[in-house]
Amino acid sequence: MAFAMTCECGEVARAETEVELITSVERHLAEQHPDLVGRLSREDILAMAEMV
Amino acid sequence: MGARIQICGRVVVQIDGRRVEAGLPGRQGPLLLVYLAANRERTASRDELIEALWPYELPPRPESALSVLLSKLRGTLGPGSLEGRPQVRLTMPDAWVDLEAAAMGVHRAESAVALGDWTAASGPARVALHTANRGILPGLDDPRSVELRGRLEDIRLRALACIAISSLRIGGTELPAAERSARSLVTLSPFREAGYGLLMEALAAQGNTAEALRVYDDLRCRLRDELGTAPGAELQELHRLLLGPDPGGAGAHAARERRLTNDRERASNEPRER
Repeated sequence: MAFAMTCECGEVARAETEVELITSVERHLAEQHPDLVGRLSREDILAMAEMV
Repeated sequence: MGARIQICGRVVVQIDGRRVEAGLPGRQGPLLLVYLAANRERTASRDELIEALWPYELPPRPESALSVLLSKLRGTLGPGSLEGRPQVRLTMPDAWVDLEAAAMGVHRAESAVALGDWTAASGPARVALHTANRGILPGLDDPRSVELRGRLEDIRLRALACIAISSLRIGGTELPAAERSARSLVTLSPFREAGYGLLMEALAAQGNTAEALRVYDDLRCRLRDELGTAPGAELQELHRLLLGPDPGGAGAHAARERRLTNDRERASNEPRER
């Protein structure tokens, strides 16, 4: 199962697993959207991603 | 693990961690799934399904063709996934459907915004926006597909408004997100004054008062030229405050508070547009 997610800022995250996706998105939040760190749940991140 | 059904963007079905959408037959198989998943809160008659699947030209024996499709869909999704003979309904109560998650997300985000809980609005609003941005049934122009796209577009606009408002109030590194969302709102809905107000405030909060004033002037000219009217009182007040000594500060904040209150009152009094 592969996932892709284009952040509202334009950054694209791709991952092969749910764990990879969540790690990648949380890293992006920490680097680019520190005010959102801890605000998006695991379920939110999975629901935001597109299964590709 | 359960079932996840994605009908916005690429049609994907995952059951207990396994992708099964390859079993959907031809072009009509995914279309039938999209239609049933998007309307799974109700039953659909066989006539309705035939009209949705073949809006312009029926196959030689539409009833038989529909039965074959329903049988293959049932085979792909598993026993008990569809119910009814004359009236058909998708019966996978535990299945996650992306369109439903988007609708729920924007509802949660609007509730959080109404309560002033800005950070709680962030995640659900983004779930709604990301889903809506993928689109649904691209290229189909029959009335049912257009209606479905209208539902998704409504979710998209509401999600953009929630992200713009919440990002503006969170401030800091989220101000650019407020600006981007408000710009999208203005582009997609050029007569929605709330979008212009949010864009003006996002720009002013980033120290770009001149650009905020230009946005106001763009709206003023558009309304004058196309409708023969002028921006509303709240936006005029925001414009006046932006011309004052503290354009990014308390004055604009106060105007925003008033406008948000008015927006909420309007939203609670007006029927939602589809």
